[in-house]
Amino acid sequence: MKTHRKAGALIAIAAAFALGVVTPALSAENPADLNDLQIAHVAYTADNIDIRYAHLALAKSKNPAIHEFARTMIRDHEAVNVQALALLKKLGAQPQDNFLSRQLLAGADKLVAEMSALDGTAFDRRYAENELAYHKAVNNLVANAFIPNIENAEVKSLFRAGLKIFRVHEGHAEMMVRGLKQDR
Amino acid sequence: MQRRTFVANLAAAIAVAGVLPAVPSRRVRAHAKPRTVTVRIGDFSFDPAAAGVQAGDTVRWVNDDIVPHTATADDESWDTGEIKPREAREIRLTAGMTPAYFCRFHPAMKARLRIT
Repeated sequence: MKTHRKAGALIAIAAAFALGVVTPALSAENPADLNDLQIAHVAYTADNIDIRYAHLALAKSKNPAIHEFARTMIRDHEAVNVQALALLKKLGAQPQDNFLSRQLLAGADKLVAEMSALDGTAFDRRYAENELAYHKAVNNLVANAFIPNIENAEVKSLFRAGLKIFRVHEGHAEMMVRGLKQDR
Repeated sequence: MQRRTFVANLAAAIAVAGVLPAVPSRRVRAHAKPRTVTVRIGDFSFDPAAAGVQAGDTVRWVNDDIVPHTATADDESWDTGEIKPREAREIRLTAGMTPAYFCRFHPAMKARLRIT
């Protein structure tokens, strides 16, 4: 376990940097050191952030491909959250707030403000590029920092299922980014 | 030999008269008993990816994933609509249906029906 934590630490910090949520001063806090309930909180927070971005996209974009993607993000992330909450209820556990969840939320607030100021294709491109970068970074965290360190077998299994879903989202986001470049 | 020819001719005459069905071909026999063919959706793929089916059969898509999916013709001429986790949707096949399909929610998920 310790080896996994050390091996995942640098990758996890790099992923957190990619999410724009870690400043050099805060990098001493390592995502690979979070416990299962803190990891669950991060995942639930990350899901809800992506749902928030999707609602913004539905409100601002007129592009049907963006709308289809955004509706899929809402549908899938809500489905994963339902599973996560059901598992936590079964385990009689509560997710624990932590530094990474708080930083994710702070980063999301900034991004929502930035994207809200954009319109038309400028918004569409920013949304699509962020979805690709966001899923890449979260998938990196889940694969390298969270899954190797989760102790509960059922929680680990749910994260493995979640990772498969989010990798599909990453591929879908990649298609969306390519499609927008071709539209230029 | 003559007796066999007579029986064959008699059977053909009766068939033409509509009393008995003509000697069934393999295709007609298969249509007589339509099947329900199950396609499982799991880990973001359709299994089997190329289900062998015939017009008149019913395809039943069962969603074993934890997120919703669809089975939608590539040209969108048919669509199961949303298939929620642990639920199933069925479509009865007709001749000439578009065989290639995908998941409208996750366009990288592709499969086809081998309709004969």
